[in-house]
Amino acid sequence: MNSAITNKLNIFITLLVITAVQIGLSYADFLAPVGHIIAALLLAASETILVGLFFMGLKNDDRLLRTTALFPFVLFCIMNGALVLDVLIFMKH
Amino acid sequence: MTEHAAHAEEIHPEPKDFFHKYVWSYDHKVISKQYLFTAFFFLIVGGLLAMLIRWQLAYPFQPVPVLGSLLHGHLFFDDSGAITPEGYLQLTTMHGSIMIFFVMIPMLVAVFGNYLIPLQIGARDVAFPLLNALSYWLYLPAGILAFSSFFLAKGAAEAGWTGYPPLSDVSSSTPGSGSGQIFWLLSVFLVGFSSILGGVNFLTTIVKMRAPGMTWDRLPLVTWSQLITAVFQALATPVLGSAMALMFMDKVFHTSFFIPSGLQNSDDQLVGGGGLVGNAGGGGHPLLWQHIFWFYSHPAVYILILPGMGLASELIATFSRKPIFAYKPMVGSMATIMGLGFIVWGHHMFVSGMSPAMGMGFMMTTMLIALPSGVKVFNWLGTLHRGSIHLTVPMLHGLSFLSMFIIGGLSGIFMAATPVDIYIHDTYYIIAHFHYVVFGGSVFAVFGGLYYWFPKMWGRKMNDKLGYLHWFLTFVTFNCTFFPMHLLGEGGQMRRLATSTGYEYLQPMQDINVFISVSAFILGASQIIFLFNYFYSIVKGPKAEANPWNAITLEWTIPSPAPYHNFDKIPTVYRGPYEYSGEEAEKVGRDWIAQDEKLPA
Amino acid sequence: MEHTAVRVETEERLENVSFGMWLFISSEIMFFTPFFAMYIIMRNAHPELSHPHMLNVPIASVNTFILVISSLFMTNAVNASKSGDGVKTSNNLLLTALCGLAFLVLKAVEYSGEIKEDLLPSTNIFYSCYYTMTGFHGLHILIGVIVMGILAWRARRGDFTKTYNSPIEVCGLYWCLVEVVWFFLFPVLYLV
Repeated sequence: MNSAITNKLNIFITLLVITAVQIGLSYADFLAPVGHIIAALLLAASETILVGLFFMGLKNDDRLLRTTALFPFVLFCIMNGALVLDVLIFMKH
Repeated sequence: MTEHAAHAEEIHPEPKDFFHKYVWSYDHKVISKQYLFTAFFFLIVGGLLAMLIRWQLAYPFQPVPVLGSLLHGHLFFDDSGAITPEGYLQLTTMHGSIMIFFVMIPMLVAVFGNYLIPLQIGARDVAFPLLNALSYWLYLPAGILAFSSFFLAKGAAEAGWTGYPPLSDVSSSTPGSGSGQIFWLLSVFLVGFSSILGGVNFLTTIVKMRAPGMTWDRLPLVTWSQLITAVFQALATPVLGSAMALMFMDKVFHTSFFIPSGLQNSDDQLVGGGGLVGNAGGGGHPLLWQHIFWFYSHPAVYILILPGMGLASELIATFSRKPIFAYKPMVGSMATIMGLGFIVWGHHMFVSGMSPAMGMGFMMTTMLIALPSGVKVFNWLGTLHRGSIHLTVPMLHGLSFLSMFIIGGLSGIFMAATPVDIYIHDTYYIIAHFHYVVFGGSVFAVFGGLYYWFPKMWGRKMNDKLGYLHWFLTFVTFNCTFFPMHLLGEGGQMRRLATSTGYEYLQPMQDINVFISVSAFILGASQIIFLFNYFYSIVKGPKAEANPWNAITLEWTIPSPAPYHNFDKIPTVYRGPYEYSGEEAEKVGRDWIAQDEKLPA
Repeated sequence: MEHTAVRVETEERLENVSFGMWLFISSEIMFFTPFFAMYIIMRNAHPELSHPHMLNVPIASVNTFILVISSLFMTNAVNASKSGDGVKTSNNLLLTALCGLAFLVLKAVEYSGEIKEDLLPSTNIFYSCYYTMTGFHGLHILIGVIVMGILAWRARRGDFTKTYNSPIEVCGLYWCLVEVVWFFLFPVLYLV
């Protein structure tokens, strides 16, 4: 129980640090705009994974719940992937 | 699992007073019947709208008999009692919206899902009874909103059931694009929310609450189809919700998500968010609506057909007295349809200005759907092959489903090909196609299901003679109504066109239009036989025994009508749902053996 | 419903509830998906309308930290409810709700600053996206705050025990969802 609480505190501190890094990085001028977008999304995704695994308890949940949690993200990627393709192939011309 | 049975009895106590028994009821069987009666009401409304549409197409701008003289100057009618062009758009829009959102989806999912899922998996109720009641009480106000929009000063929505912007989005474009469209948005949002709650509920119920021994390969196909439909409901319907939310923002907060820059009205004035003249906001994208809308509405098409497939499988297996041919491929094909169903939405947009490369991809995924559908069709035929076919009323409906679905499915493959679709897009060919699938497919399955489970729902039997008559008239006039529409479509008659005689090239086909309309009127009138039979039999039908069809699944092991807590003791399941005429059945000297029947040692 | 009897919830019931909630969370993610789709299209079609840090980054950053902190209180509340400590559950829920309220107040300050500068949803498509995405997220926060208020009151009354605490757990899942949505809204709207 005790280790679980310190674990949660660690996650919490990591989340705070990631957020700080995210804000700081957005002011960095050594990244191209695309780099900024990718970095921000990666950091947001890592925050999501941390919250999902530890605060929402997916780490200890069974495969059913993990699949349920993952499925909408797959659909998210399909929908946005299709739109990005459409926008990049078609709207740019 | 045994503990499960013990606590299930405490799901909710049996109510004694009228209000908790029939109005705010937690019982899945009562909620199912609430849905049923509401859907019947909307079926009548949507049917009448269809009759008016057919009148206009056969006899354009002539006074409508009866309704026109009663309501002239109101609703869709001008002072002479004829249908106005704007009124015609309201008719087509609301016929589609009501039939899809308030009749077919509730009928297939909420009525049969609610009634059959707990009974077929051996549970006492759904997982969340309160949520279940809530979904009905969200559906009803949504229906009332949709229905009341007819009586708004400027009438109901006119932008088609797909609500394409800018017509729907620019409030000044048609009379119905004002408050009528907002009512439409709100009611679809509400009914979508109700559908999400239903999907979550059913998924949880089927995944978590199956009786001991009810393994995945012993689940009846009705329940399998409901499970897969529920995935669509839970994951695709929210997308519809956000489409509605975005258009609501456009119309109320004057954003312009779906209004492009530089859109002008007929007076050459710039039109911006919400249709504000002179608001140069713009910058939105009408195509985005189509992407979002079809991301839901293509899965919605499968919400409309998958439960029908489940019902038909049950009917065909029971009345062929044979196990369903290839059970696992049946399930696998439904799962494949679900997976593919999420990645084919673009085939509705071949002519919308989407990138042709995308169109190519969508064309291929759409054609792939023919494979699992074909697997299903061959399996039904395999089930019928050398079966002992009993042509009862439900079976006739099951067979009608099968044959009509083949026609509708095949025309679907034609239009999946981009070049063909460019020619027939938005013509009557499309109308013919989806009526063959949704009416010829799902409605026949629903009728079959209503006849088949009537004894279980009401403890009485329906009249067979009226049933055969209703089936015959419906089947013949259905085909007379919708088959000629293929010809109209190839001849170039566009959907939503109020003046079927207004173009010279359409005039030679006017006789077909008249023929269709006459068939449609008979088709509409024959449904009175069904409604009469249904309601009369509830009161006066002969008493039914527990298992009138000698069927196998768990709902037939309990008395008719199903008692309040469904099962006295949660059953243990020993075999699959379609063990007709098998070895085990022979051992008990019948051609069937119930799923929870223990063989004598 | 009687409050005197101790409610007992079986393991199965608990599993049902958390599976149902996960399904609902999935469907909530799907609800937000088209907003991001719309935002991607908008950013590609009108790159001139927005640039990094054009919105109120300080307020949004503080809000992000508030949400992260609130999630700690939320997990504390869930843990406390599992050990049957009603008062501790209630206190932590109230702290979480307070964080949610602070988020909403700061959001209101942020909105009012923009409205003063005449930047409305109808100004251009970027502000349309901004108000819609943050608005619907704010609506979820508001619903969360109300639910947590009710649950805190019920926890103080002693409704939740070691054997019956699924509402708290479900509420915790919901709050994490709201947080995750913000994790994506914050960088895409404010930072890049």
